[in-house]
Amino acid sequence: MIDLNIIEECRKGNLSYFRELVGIASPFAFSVAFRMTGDEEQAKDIVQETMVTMWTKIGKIRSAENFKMWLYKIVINKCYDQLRKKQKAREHNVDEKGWARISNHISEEFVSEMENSETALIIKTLTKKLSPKQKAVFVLCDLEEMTPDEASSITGMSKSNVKANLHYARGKLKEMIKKHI
Amino acid sequence: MESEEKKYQKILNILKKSKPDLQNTSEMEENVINMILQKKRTKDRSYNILDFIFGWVYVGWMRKALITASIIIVVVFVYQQTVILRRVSRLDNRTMIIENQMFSGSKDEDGRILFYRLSGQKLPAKSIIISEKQLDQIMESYNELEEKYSDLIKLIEEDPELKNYVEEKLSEKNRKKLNL
Repeated sequence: MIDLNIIEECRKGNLSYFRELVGIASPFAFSVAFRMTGDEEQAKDIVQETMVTMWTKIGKIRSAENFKMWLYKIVINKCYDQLRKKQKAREHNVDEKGWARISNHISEEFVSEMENSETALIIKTLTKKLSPKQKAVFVLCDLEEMTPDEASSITGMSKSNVKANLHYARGKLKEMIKKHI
Repeated sequence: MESEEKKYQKILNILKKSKPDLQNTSEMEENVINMILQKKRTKDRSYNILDFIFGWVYVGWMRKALITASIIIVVVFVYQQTVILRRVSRLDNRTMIIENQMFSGSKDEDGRILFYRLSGQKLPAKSIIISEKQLDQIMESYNELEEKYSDLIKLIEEDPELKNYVEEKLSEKNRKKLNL
């Protein structure tokens, strides 16, 4: 939980407090951005942009409880922008390598923690066929373990829309697993 | 299907367990602060340029003068619009008058008769619209005709016999028309 005093000080323009806030908030933002994009550098850029936006719009925050939701909202919107650009640029094919790694991990008996590069490859491969909205609900609900209500307030979609997108996302992922593994 | 679900759950567990790790948060903090300061500097610079170009609008008397000028422009605009609208509505009335003259007749008795004849008592209202100029031309030609035959009319009126004869002929003509 973020201390309301820090937010108040940031509102007044105190940069040293804002530095503290960046230290607290950036890991959350990075987690979502990384899982959405599947790219560490891109996720870092998104986090930086998010923090700058946060500085310019910090006056809009009314309570410390809403801060995390508000932060996620900014991150998700930035991710949407990046994903749209990425769709235009077209990516290299990472399918075969990625599915081989996923297959290896599934066959392992114990779940082990992976490095960022490995996680990025898996996420990229797995969520390649998902639309930005489906990606967002999958990351928020299944990976960040949020409720559909929370995901709805972050993404701006209705609750039923979140559930529908999540359903389609899971369906697509299972289909991909069936096809490749 | 079950195995896919299991595989899916396993992948989920792997991904949940491997939470993305943001290394070097202090570098991130530094970058963000630098970006904010840079933005602030460019903003200040652009403010200075804007101040240099548009700074005069903050001078008191200049502001008042501009406000007065804008009010005057608005008033003139409204006045102009009213005048134009009034003129347009007057123009509309004028055309109506011409139509009325044509069908209900002008104050001039001869003109009224002429229009009555022209219309042949058959024209529906507002079916023909003629201009004022055309109207004047018709009136002129009618007066010319009247002038030319004024001697003949005088002659007929002076001679009662001839007058009777002409009237008889005219009534005969009317009767024939009615028979038709």
